[in-house]
Amino acid sequence: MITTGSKWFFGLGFVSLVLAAAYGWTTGGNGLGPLTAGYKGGVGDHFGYGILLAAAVISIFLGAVATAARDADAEVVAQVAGTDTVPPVTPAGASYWPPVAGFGAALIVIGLVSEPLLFVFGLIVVGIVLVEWAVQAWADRATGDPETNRRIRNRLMNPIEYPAAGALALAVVALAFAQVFLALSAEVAVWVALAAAVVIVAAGFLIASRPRISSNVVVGVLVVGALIVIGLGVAGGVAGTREFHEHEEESDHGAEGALAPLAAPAVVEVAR
Amino acid sequence: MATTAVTTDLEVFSEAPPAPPARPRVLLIGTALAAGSASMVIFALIGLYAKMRHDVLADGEVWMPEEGNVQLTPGSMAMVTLLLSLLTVAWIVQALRNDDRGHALMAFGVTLLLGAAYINGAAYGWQQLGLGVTSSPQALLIYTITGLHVAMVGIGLLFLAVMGFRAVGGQLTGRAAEGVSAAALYWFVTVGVYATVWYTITITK
Amino acid sequence: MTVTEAPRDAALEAAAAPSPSAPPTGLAAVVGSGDPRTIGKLFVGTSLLFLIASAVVGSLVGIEQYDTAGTEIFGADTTLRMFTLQATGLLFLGVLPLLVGLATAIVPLQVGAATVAFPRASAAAYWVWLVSSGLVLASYAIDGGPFGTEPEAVSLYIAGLIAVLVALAVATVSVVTTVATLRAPGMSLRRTPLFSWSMLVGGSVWLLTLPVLAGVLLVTYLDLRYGEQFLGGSGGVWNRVAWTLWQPTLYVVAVPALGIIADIVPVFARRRHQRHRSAMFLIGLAAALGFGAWAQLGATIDGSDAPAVWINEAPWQAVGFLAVVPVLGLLGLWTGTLGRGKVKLGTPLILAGMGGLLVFLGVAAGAATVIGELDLSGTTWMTGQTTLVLLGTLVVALGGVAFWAPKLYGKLLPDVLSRLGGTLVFLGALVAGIALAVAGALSQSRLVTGGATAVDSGDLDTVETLNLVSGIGLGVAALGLVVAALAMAKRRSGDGPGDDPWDGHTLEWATSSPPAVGHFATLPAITSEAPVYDARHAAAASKTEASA
Repeated sequence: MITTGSKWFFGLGFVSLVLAAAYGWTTGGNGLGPLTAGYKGGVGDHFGYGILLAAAVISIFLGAVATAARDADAEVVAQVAGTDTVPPVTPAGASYWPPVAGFGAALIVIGLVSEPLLFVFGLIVVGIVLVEWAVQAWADRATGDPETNRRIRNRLMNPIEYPAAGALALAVVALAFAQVFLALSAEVAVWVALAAAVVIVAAGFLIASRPRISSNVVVGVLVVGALIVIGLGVAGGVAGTREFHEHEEESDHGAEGALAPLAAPAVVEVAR
Repeated sequence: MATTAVTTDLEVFSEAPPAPPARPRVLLIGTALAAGSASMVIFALIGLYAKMRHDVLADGEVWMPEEGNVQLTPGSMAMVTLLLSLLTVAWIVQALRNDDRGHALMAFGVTLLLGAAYINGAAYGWQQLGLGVTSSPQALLIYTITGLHVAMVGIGLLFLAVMGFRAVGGQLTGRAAEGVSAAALYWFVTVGVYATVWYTITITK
Repeated sequence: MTVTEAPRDAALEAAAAPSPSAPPTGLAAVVGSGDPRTIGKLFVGTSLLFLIASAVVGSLVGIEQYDTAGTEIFGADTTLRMFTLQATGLLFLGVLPLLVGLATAIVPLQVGAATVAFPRASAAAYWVWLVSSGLVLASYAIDGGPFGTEPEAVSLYIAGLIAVLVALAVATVSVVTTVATLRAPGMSLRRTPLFSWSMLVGGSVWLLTLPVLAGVLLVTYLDLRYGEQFLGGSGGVWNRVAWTLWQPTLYVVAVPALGIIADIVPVFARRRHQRHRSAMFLIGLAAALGFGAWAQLGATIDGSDAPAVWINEAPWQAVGFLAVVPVLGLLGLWTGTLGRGKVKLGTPLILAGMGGLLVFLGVAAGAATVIGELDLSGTTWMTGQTTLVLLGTLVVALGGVAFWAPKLYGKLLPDVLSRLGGTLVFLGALVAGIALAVAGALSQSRLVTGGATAVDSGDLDTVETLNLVSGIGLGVAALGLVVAALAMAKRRSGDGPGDDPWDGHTLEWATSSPPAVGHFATLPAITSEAPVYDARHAAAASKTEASA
C-alpha cells in the first residue's frame, strides 16, 4: 500500500530524479547518460548530478521504509507490538549526560585545531556518554518500575563510576598541586608542600576526632578544599612554569606542526 | 530474638512489574533517517571526487598520481566481506525473532568479525595506496571518503554490539527485536554506500 | 537478576499512565532536562540572542558599504569576515535552530505524544549546538572564519560549523521521527497538523542538505589544514557555505514557516483550513523544490574558481519559477479560509501575515532572478531575496512563538511588545531586502568588497544610499528582535491563559498550559485534522440539541 508518508518520499525521489536528468543534460551530459547514471553517455557536471541522484536514491529508500512500516500509524504499531492499544512512550528523566556530550564535542573541536590531547579527551568523554546512554536505555526497559530500573542501573554502573570518578578527582587534584609547585620556586614549593600536608593531616584529624560530625560539613570542607586547590592550580598554570636550568638548550619542537599564517585570500568571488 | 527481614536487590528486581513493550517503529524509522542522512555526506564527496576526476580526464591528463596504487583485490575483498555480512545480519534478526539467542549470538560474533575484517582490509588498502593523505587532492578525497565509510562501519558495529548486549539481557527477542532490526537496517545502508565507494574508487579509479 | 520480556497487555496496562522518574527540579530542570518543552525553549531563547547579534553585525556591514570606495567601520578584510559572520549567524545559529526548537516543543503536543522520539538525543543536540555555536563565534574573535588569516581560527570556524550541522541534524531526526512514528491513535499522516507536516517534509530535506555541507566542509578543513588548498584556502571556505543562502536551498528553510501560518490562519479565521490535503501537497512541493544542494560551486584540482555551471540553466530556472506555485497556492487557500471565516485579528495572525508577505516577496524575487535577460543572478538582488525569505521566516516563527506561548511558557506574550517587535523586524527586513534588491537591479555585484565596480557612475550615489538604507533596515530588525526577546522574557502577568485561549483546532490545545509531564491525560477522538475543533463543535451542537 502506498501510504501518505511513502508518497512524500517517493515524490521527493521523483523530483530529484527529474532534476538530476535535467541537470545532467543541461550541464554537458549526452545520450542516455543522465538517465542511466553515466552508463550510456555523459552525465554533465558530476557533482550536482551525483548529489541529486543520491538524494533520489535515499528518498526512495525512505519511501520503501515508510511503506513497509505503513506510516507507523498507531493502529499498525499496536498490531506490530501485539497489543490492543498502542504502547505509550515514557518521558525521559533528568540526565546530565547531554550537557557532558556538549562538553565532549567542544573538546573534540578545540582539540582538532589546537591540541591532539584535548581531541583524545573529547573522544573519551563522548565515548563515556555513549556507554552511559546505552546502559541507561537498557536499564529503562529492565522492568516496569522506574525506581527498580534506577537501582539496576546503579548496581551495574556505580562500581565503575565511583572508582573512575575518584581517580579523575585525584588526577585533577594532583595536576592542580603539580601546577602550583611548578609555578613556585623550588624553596617555596617545599614549604608550601609541607603546609599543605599539615593542613590535610589536621583536617583529617579533626574530622576523625568528631565521629558525630554532620556529613554536610565534611562534604562542604572537601568541596571548598577542592575548589581552592583547583583555583590555585589554574592560577599556577596561568602564571607558568618556573625556569629550569637543567636543559639549557631549547629545542624548536614547539614550532613543529604549527601552521604558517595564511596568505590573503585569493578567492574574490565572495557570494553573498 | 526478633529477626529482621532483609530484602535483597534480587528480590526487589524480581518483584518489579514487567517492562511495558517498547513502541515499535520509532528506532527503526529514526535509524533509517539518520542512516540516509549519514550516507549523504559520503555521496556528496563521491560526487566531488567524480567531478574532479572527470575534469582532469577531460583535459587529457591522468587522474591518479604516478605513485598512487589503488589495488583491486583489497577493495573487492572488502566488498565481498560486507556482502557476506548482510547474510549474517539477516541471520541475527531472524534468530532473535524466533527467540533463538544461541544462533543470534553466533551470528553477532560472525558479523563483528566480518566488520573487523573489513576495517582491516581498508587499512591494508590505505597502506598499499602509496599516497600520503595530504600529498594531492586525489589522495585527500580518497582518504576522506574511505575514512568516513570506515567510521560509518565502526558506528554500525557499535550499534550491533549494543543491541547484542541488550539481546543477551533478553530485551530484544520475539516481537521486541526491532532494535536489532534497526541496527540491521543501518548495516544494510552501510553496505550499500560501500558499493558506491567501491565502484567509484576501486573499479573506475 | 531476571529481565524477561513482559506479558504484553498486562505490562501495557501497568504503563498506561507513564511514570517517569521524579521530575527534575532546580538546575537539573534546565541543564539536565530531557523534556522537549524545556529543550525547545532553550533553542528558541539562545537562537534569538544569536539572531540579535547577527542583525547588528549585518547592520554595521550595510552602513560600512555606504562608501563603496573606502571603509569607515571595519577594514576591507574585516568587512568580508563580518559579512560571513552575520550570514552564518542568521542561518545556522538563528533561524534554523529557532525552528528546530519550536518544533521540538510543539510537534509532540500536536501529534499527541508524551515526548519527542529521542529526548536525550535532542537534549544533547542542543548542548552540542550551543557549545559549537560559541566556538564558531569565538573563531571570529581570534581572526578566523572565512577570510581569516589565523589558520587555527579558520579551522576552528569549519570544525565548529560541522559540529553545529551535526547537532541540528540530530535534533531534526528526533522531530521528524516524532511526526513519523508517535502520532496518536486515529491520527494518520493525512490528519497531521500542518506545522508537524511541514517539519516532516522540510526536516527530511534538511537531512539531505545539511550532510552535504558537512561533507564538503570536512574536506575543506583537511585541505586547508593539511593539504594543498585546492578548495581555495581561507577565502574558499565561504564559497563552500554560501549556497545555503541561495535559492533553492533558501526555500527549504522557509517550509516550516508555511506550516506555522497554515496552523495559525484557520484558528483566527474560526473555521477549518480550506482543502487541508491540498495544503499538505503544496507544502510538500515547496520542500521538494527546496532541495538545492546541487546548486553550489564545485571545485577544481588546481584551486581556481569553479564556475556555477547551473546558473541560468533549465533546472535552476524551473525551480525558481515553480517555487512560486506552492506559495501562491497556499496564499490562495489562506485567503479563502480567512475570507469565509469570522476573522479575529490576533498577534499571531498579524505576525504570520507579515512574515508570509516577506517570504512571498522573496520567492517572487527568486523567480525574477532566474530570468537570464534581467541579469540579476550575480548581484545583490539575490542578497535582498535571502534577506526577505530568512527574515520573513523569522517573523513567522515569532508569530508561532506568540501563538504557542501558552504551551511554551504557560502565559500569553504581551500583545503590544510582540506586535511591536514583529513589526519592526518586518519593516527592517522589508527595507533592507528591497534596498539590496534595487541596488542589485542597478548592477551592484554580490561581491562584498568592490561590488560597485559594475555600477554606472550615475547610479553610484543611489547604490551607496541603498546600502546605507539596507544597513539601517537590519538595525531596525535587530531592534525588533530585542523587543521580541523582551516580550518573551516579560510574558503577560496575571492568571494563566487557560488551556485553549485561541479556540485552537489541533491536539496541543487539548492539554494544559503549560503541559504537564506526559502531556495528555486523555486524548479526544481523532477523526479529522482538527480534533479539538471537532470536539468543540460537537459539544456545542449537542448543547443546542439539548436546549431545543
